Amino acid sequence: MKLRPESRHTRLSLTVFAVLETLAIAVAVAAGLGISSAATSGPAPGTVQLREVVLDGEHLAVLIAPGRPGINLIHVGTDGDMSVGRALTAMTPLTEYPAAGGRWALIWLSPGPGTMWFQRGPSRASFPIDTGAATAHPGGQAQTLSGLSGPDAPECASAALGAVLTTRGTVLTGCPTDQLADIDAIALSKLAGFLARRGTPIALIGDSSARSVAAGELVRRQLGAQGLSVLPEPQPGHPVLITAGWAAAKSTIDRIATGSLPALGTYLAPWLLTAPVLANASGAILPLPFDPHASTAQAYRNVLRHLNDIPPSASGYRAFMAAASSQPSTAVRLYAVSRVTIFPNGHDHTTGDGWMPGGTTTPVTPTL
Amino acid sequence: MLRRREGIPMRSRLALRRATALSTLMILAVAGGVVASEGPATANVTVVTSSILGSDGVTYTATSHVTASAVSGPGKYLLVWAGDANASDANSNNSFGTDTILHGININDLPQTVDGATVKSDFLAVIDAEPTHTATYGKVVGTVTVGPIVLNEPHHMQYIWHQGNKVFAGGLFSDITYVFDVSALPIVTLTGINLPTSTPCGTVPDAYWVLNDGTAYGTYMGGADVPGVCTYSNGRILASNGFAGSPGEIVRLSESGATLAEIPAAPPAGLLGIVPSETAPPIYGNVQSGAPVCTVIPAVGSIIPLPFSTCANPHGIQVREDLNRMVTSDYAEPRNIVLHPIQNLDANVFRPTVRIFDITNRNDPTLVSVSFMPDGPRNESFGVHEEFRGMMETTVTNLPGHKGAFAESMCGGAVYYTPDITNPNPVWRQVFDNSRAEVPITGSVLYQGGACDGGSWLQTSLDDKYLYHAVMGRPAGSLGAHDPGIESMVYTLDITNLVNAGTGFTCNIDTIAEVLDGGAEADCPTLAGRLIIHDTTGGGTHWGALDNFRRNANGTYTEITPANNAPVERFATSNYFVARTGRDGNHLVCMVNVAGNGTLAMDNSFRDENTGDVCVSFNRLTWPHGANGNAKPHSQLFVVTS
Repeated sequence: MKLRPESRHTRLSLTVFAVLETLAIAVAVAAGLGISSAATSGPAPGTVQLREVVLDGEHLAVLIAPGRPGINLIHVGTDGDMSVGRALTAMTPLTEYPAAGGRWALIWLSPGPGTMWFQRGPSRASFPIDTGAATAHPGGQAQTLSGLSGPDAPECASAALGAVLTTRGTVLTGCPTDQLADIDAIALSKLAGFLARRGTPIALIGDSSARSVAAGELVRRQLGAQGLSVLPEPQPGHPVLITAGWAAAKSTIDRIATGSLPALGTYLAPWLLTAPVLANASGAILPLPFDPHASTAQAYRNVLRHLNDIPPSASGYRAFMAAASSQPSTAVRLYAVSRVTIFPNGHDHTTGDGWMPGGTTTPVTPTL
Repeated sequence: MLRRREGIPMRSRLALRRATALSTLMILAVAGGVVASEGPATANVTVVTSSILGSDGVTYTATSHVTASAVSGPGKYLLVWAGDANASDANSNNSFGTDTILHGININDLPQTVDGATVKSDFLAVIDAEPTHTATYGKVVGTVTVGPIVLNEPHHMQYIWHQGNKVFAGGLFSDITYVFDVSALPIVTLTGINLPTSTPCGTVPDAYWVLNDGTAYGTYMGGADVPGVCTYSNGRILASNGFAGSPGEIVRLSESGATLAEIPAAPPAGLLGIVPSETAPPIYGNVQSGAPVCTVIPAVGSIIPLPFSTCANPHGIQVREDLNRMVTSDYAEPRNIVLHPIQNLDANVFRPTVRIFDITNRNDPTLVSVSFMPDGPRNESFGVHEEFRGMMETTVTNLPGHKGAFAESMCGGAVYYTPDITNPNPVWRQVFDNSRAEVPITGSVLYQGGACDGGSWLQTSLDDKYLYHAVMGRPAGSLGAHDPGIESMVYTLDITNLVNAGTGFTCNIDTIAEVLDGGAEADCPTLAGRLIIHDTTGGGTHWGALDNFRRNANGTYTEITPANNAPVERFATSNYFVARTGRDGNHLVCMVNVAGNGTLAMDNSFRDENTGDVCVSFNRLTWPHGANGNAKPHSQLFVVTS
């Protein structure tokens, strides 16, 4: 197959990027957000890259994080088989992650300018990429971001995407799983207070990430202060609170839905608000400091919809807002997330309010 | 205080009328604690906003946008509760009609297309439904947008509006009930709101029935807000698996939307509030006798260590106050999910039951019976297609001498009847199969008859002579390559003999011949009329509303009631279900004339003001409240001003 001239791809990508930028700025302005001046400049070497390739006429969004020399996570908005690489002789197949849509690959990017190739069957496309110098970035090299190579890498990518939508030149220095964010701590603290008032001991399911460990300690401390114990394992008649990352949380939610894990109610950490994790969440409850139906949250979701319908996420939205210098709210309410599918037509239902496939997110408490 | 601002000046009579209406609204505002604000003005549109402070501290609004074409004086309007169509509704199965704004998007067109996908306000559309208003008949003369909550998924209002009633309108997904005052139409005022936190034991509001005292019962199909035990107003405690789960409940609402009572739909609980299992009768299709017949998700056993198989997910609701009976029909656990990638949906999430309550104590009704609709003669390949699956709607007879009620199944395609809802052990039998009325979309041979044909609105005529039934239809290919599909339609049954037969009725659909030809017994209903309302979207005609008002010579209106025994001469239909389920609709609202013998004919004078086509399309770019694009009309009511 004849390869397309690189210059054409360059023009296309720049055009698309300009369009995206226009859209993001428009969205942000409409939402009353501030936009940094960096948003008007070209892609900076060594920063998170949001690009596009066109294969067989299909426009595919591509995210490259962190976009620096070293290990990088590549996310392509497709469900088909593809491969990616810096050279056609060294292509890496894209794979799936358990709690994320699209296709993914971890590849090593060398310093400086080069070409990023994509291949699907006989079709190929490329765009130029400049990762910058190996030592030019304060955040260090990509391999220091352990969150990008673990099972919850998609959450890190989602956060990077949220940031780059409103501020180009995003330098990725960490992942959400690295620490328990203040706003998440507030939300979990409010949730723990709510659970304590209901008076039923809960089971806690976390993982080994720093965020989850800190969350678990916080919840245990909060419940213990109010005389409520944490069960050693899930038990019938008792709720489960999941503070794990996306992958482990999805697995747990699915087990609860099929009845293989007992739970009288599923409570989730706020970072688990993303469609692939929640696909089988049945009336799960999350403490959220924002309303997914609010105009800014819908604007963020709308932008993603045009990037191959990449699912929105709480971490992505937070980064989207933070990049626009918007202060997060600390007013936390509990939201129920549930499918409301009510018709057995046998089709795959993939729609919803964007945050919950085939369903809805609804506030079920006042501000806690 | 309530204020308004107008665009260009309107005719003096209209202005005078509006001034009178606004004076009334100001009184309402003071009396009801309504807070008013001023809305933005648009050329040729009068904007009036009413607001009310919710229990959560949020100010909720209804903003009327009345066009200059609204006719002054007494009028008859069709009030349509519609949701904004946006990116949340786009999927591989639905269509936005002629508006392709959300389809085929090229990333380079983003700035031009994103606005069409943006979420905007849901609203009531006010359509002139008075045929003598030749210049404005069928025009959307106003809209009433609600805020700030979006993505409500506007669903049902009450089945029929009586003069003086408030309008109760539910948001399926927002779990909110709005209460509107429509006495000053085309201006509408928000007078009440019931938030999710006001009904902690129930979610996913579906339909309403307004009582003589102006209060209303509403069906809340889903379980409690939060999983665990929930305490109802009468002190009973039941366990629930949470939002959009089970068991659902009945809520009695005041005229201001306050919760007067949360009423359990499930039978009294046993130890620890555990919901008793509702199990299959001795002979029940392919369900083993005594087995749990209703699945809840998460699965049985994960909730609590004892049986939990309630069918209580009430959807349809109608009331006979003179008999002190309320009838509700259970449709499905709303949040059913496909847990296995290759298995069919669990048929047991679609409920087979009808409940009858004694409402002598309006705030504490007693559940008298839970009836499992009998299996019919069809032996379906898929359990979810059996006759009794998905009992979506019910309707009562109306005349004082009649005590019967009907119920229909959305996925089973069947119509059931019981002659006496005061009987604590009511006898329900299948009296009609939709297959008799169905028309294949392609070819001439039906495939699996009424299987999942989308049976929906079911309504007796006010004189108990006819039964009207909307059927959404089934897209060709739904059941495989051999399925020609079923046309969307509404049909009329003559039920005179059946109702007059009383408790000795003999009709029973128990042979395949009766499925296709109608019941053989002499008192079985007969097909009196049928009207195809073509819809290729995968949705179809889901809802209808009787026109229960007759125009007097002086232009005022008299309500048609069972007491004056006058026939209903027309009803309005709407083609929309719930887009997120993959069953959308072409968003048409049509007017159907009913002849004295029950035959149906489209009212060809009820036309879209933009296209000139028969029926009013809710796929349009511009509304009185702005260029907000397509909308999804789920339910409607005839409302008059005199």
